[in-house]
Amino acid sequence: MTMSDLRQIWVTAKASLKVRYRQSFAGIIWVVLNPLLLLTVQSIAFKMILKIEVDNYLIFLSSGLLPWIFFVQTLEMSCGTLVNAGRLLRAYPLRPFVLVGAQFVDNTINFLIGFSLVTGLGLTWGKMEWSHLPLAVPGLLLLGIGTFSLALLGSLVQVFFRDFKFILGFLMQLLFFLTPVFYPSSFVPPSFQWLIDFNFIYHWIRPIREAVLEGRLVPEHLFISALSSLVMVGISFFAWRWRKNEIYQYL
Amino acid sequence: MKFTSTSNVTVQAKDLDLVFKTQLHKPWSLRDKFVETLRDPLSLLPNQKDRFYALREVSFSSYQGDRIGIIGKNGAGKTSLCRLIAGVYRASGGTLSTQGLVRSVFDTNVGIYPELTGRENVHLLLHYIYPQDVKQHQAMADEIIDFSGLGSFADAPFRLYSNGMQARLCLSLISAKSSPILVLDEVFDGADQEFQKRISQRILKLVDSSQTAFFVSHSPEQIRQLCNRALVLSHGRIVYDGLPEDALAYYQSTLVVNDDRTS
Repeated sequence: MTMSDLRQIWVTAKASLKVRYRQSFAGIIWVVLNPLLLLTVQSIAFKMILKIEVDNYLIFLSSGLLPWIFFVQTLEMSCGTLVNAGRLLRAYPLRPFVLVGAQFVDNTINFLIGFSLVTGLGLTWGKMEWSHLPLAVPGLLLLGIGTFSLALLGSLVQVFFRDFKFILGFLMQLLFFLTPVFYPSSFVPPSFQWLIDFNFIYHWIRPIREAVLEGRLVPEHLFISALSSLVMVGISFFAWRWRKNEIYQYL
Repeated sequence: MKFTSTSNVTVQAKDLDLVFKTQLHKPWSLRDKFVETLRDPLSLLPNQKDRFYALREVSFSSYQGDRIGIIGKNGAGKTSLCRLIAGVYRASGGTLSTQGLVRSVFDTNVGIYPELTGRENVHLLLHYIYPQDVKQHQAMADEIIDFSGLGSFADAPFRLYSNGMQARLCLSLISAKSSPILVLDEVFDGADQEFQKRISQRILKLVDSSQTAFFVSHSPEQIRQLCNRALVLSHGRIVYDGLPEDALAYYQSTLVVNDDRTS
């Protein structure tokens, strides 16, 4: 990836934001309200109705739910990026991953707005500590790398299999319940522990949660998170290299 | 045989192959693919029938001052060759070397964001087509809008433009600055007659200041007017490389006539 690619990603993301916010002011509100509403509803459902016993539950939930929303939204929105931009990609010598990159930047900005808001509230209530925040940076970076790689892969698969986004939506629903987002991993019985051992999303969320909630970095967990991201980068890189030429045939 | 005034090579292709692993006849749905795999697990194995040669053993060299027309029927491999030169495709075999920056356009009726204005689309497209000239983008955008003659329409959303207006804007954009190697694939369609004359003159000037230009066109007039050399492609191979008039005659007499006889 060159400086010129990065600049193209940035200007495309800016244009995309401009289009969304020019069309309706509701777009801005929705970006902020969507994660906050989900957080509020899930917090009520799991803490007050299902009575999940976890200390500081709102911060616990937000440190898992916001990265989860970012991951799922980026994946789902990136899926159709190449297919929707078929004519554009065939018209100009634009590298396809630039469009997926722009979608990723767009979602990252939305995520950071939501994350800042929740963090601000957490700090105001005194349930979160300033000193914990810098510790979340490595986890957030690894989440970003992994999510971008999977977004690239998803956008490529969608070119060849047009029902992929529907299957992805279904898979994400299943995965949400299998990933310790709204419950702690200690709730999972030992016989089912393998379900989270092989769940790469959990490995991306865990270091963020440990940093925000407990103010600690566990090198072993960071290593597994980095390994998961690297595996995704590798798979995505080889898949793109393998099918890059064919993209234009299928668009 | 050389067709140019100098001997400086700008593009050199040697035994270029471009193979697509096309499975266009196979399911485009993961669910169907799943059912097909259950029914016939061997269908997962690669099949030679799924390999399609878009280009086969293509060799040529272009030199400074060449204006090369690429002629051929639909599916002959013209766009594939242009995309290879532009660096969009990666060759499956053979070697391709280019000396200098390649600038290419394959369609002139596409805006990035139809909701944005023509001017905003120009600014965005400048980043895609002229990524190295960021500091000049503002001046280039002003000149492009001016040359396109769109006037106040430049600040209207791109989606409201007619095909002709879109072509005006895009053609003005791609011809805004010379580059060492220029690739234009059927980009003249869509603009009105008056603008076609203006843009032809502008592109001629552009070609003069570029080292080499490749044009794909179905119009013999444009090939005669703009080119000093032409390649005829058939089934992914170069079957003729020579002066435009001879190439057009070869194309008409050999490929088109054979086709008529066959049909």
